Amino acid sequence: LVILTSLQPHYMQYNPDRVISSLYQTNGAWFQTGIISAANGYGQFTIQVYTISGSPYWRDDEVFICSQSYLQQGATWSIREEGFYNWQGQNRIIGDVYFLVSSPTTNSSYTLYPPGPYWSWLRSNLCWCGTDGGSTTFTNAFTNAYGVSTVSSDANLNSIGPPVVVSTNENSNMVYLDFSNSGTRSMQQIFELCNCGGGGGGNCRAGQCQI
Amino acid sequence: LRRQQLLPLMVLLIGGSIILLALGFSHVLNVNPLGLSTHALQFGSRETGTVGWLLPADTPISTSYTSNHSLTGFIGATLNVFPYEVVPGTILQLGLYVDGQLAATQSYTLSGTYHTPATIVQTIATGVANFSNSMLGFTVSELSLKTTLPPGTNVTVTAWASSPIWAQVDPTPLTQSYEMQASTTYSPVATIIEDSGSVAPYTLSVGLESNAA
Repeated sequence: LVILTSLQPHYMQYNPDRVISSLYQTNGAWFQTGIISAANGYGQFTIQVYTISGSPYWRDDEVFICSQSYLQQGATWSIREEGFYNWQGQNRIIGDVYFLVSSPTTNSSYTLYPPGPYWSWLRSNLCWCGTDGGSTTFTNAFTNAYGVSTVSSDANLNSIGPPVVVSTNENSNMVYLDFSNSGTRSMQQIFELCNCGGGGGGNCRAGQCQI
Repeated sequence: LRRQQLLPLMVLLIGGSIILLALGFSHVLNVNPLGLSTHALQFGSRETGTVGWLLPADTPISTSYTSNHSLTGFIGATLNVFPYEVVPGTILQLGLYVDGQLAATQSYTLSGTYHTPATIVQTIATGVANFSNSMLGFTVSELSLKTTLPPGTNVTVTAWASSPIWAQVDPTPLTQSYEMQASTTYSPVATIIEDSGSVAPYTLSVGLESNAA
């Protein structure tokens, strides 16, 4: 069980590295999960799978709420990829993905069972990304959107490096800091957003905005 | 072979391996950047409502929709169920039909134990209730469509459960669900006739999805 939590709400994606995915995911696919906040207030839970060549393979999108309460300060977003784990082998198959959004005024949870099951869970990076290749910037409700999110686990995990490009292929503006307690049950990786102005979007590296 | 002869051979092998590996990675890396996309082709029910209907046990129920767009890549269907008093071990059998032909099946065994069980907020009628915002989404999908299906393609989803479960209903339905011949065991048949059986009292909320153009 891996718990991914964002302390402040944004577009939250669990993006395994694409190269790692090409080597270790079923058929080399890129299996991603996320919580997407739409401008009209609708929130969306999503699983999206792309082929190794980048073509959409399968996806499921579920609108979970029509209220901006989940954007409130203090709201929590969580994604849990759950399944049949055998940490010593390769049988780490995702059976379902549990999404949860809670705020001081509302809660919404959804458990989505993707086809299969045959998708492998991969250690990954949590990021607050733009959508559609990074074209989305953090505006409006996200004006002050920068903070810290964490990933933790109740299983022994070892660290993996960040994506090939630190700001990720998805133009994430996350800063990837070091893993701590790697190889233990309290491994933690901390993520930060850079506030680069213009709504907080921008390209971050080593905690600095890149112009 | 002597050591002097082996060395150039090893250099050649290692160098070749590195080049092949780099070519493989460059193939991957040359793919256009992709993050999560908000572009999806969705049809069928897309309700955010929390009204559930107690789906009768052993009764296959079909729900059909016609796509107004071409369907490419895949067809995915999702049936939403409220995690409320689910009998452990309940079998949920889903079938996906394209123009009446069975395209995919998916069987689930429900554990009955969930992170966030739903609660009844309000009883609307016998077997109909308004629930808290917690759902389970069970999918059945045809992956890797061989051809693009034209607009007008009919997609039917069948659901059968071995014990009653609370399924999300569509409060503003564009179609109707149909109850078919009850059976204590069920396996989706090879072909189905659209809208066969008797009209169900409620329309199941069945979300459908395919690649966006």
